[in-house]
Amino acid sequence: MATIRISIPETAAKDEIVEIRTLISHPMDNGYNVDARGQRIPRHILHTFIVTYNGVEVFHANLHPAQSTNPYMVFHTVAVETGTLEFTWLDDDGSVFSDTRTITVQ
Amino acid sequence: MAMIDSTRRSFVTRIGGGAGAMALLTVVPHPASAETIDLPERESAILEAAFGSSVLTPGKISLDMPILAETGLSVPVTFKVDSPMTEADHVTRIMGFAPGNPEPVLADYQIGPRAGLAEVSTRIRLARTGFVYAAAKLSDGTLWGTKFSIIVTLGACVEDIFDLDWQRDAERRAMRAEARAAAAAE
Repeated sequence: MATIRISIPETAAKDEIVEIRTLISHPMDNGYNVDARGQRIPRHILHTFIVTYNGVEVFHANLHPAQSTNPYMVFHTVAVETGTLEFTWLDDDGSVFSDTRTITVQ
Repeated sequence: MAMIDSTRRSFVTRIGGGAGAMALLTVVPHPASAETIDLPERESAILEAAFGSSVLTPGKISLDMPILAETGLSVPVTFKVDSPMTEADHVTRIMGFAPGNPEPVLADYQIGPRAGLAEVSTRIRLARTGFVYAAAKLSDGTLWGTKFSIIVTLGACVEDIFDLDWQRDAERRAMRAEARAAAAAE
C-alpha cells in the first residue's frame, strides 16, 4: 500500500507558523503514457488531499494528472492548539489513504 | 526548496547569473505596463468556472521554479502569495496552469487564515516548453496572477509530444499491433 511520510514539528509555540511536508507513494498514472506494449495506461491518480486540524480543514488540494509521481507537498499551518492533524488522500479507485500526527502547543 | 530564504535565493541567482547548478529564479511580479495577465482560451474557461472571473491583475503571487527543467516528469514549483493571511485579508485559493499540457491544471489549493503563510510547494509534470501561469484569489474577491516561461528538455507525456494528432496516433498504434501479430504468426 501507499507509503506515507509526513514531516511536522512535534512541538510548537502558540500561533507559530509550522511547515508541513508530506510525501505519499503513488504512481499517479495520468492517462497519457503508454506501457512497453504500446497500450495506453489508464488514468489512476490521487484526486484529493485534505488536511484537518482537530477536525477543521486547513488545507485542501485538488490533485490533477499534472501532479508528479509520489505526490509531495509543502504547506503551512498555524499551531493554534495542541491536537491532531489528519492527512487524507482520496484515490480514483475509491481507496482512502490517511495518517495522523499530533502537535503539542507549548 | 521552499526552505531557502528568498533574499538568499535572489542573491545567488544574481551572482550565478542564472547559470548556476540550481538555476532557480525568483519571479518578480509582471511589469506594471501589463494591466492583466492574458490566459489562453481553455485556461480562461477553467479559471472563470473556478474563480468567477478570468481577469488576473499582475502581482502578489509569484512562481518559484527552475528556468530549465531537464525532465518534465518532476518539476519543483512553489506558489507564493504576498498576503498577511489574517481573518480579514487572506488567500482563499491558488491555481496553476500549463497550457502546453493535455490537461492544463497543475495545482488547485484551497487555503485560509489557518495556513498562516500562503506558500505551497510541490512537484509537477510539464509536457513541453512554454508558459506556466499561477492565479490566486483573495478573501476580498480580487484575482492576481503571474506567468513564467520554462524550458522543458524532455516532456512528461512522451507519446503526446511525438504525435499530437490522437487519430493518427491510434492508427499508428493499430499498425504496430498488426505488425506484432504478423511477427507472432510467423
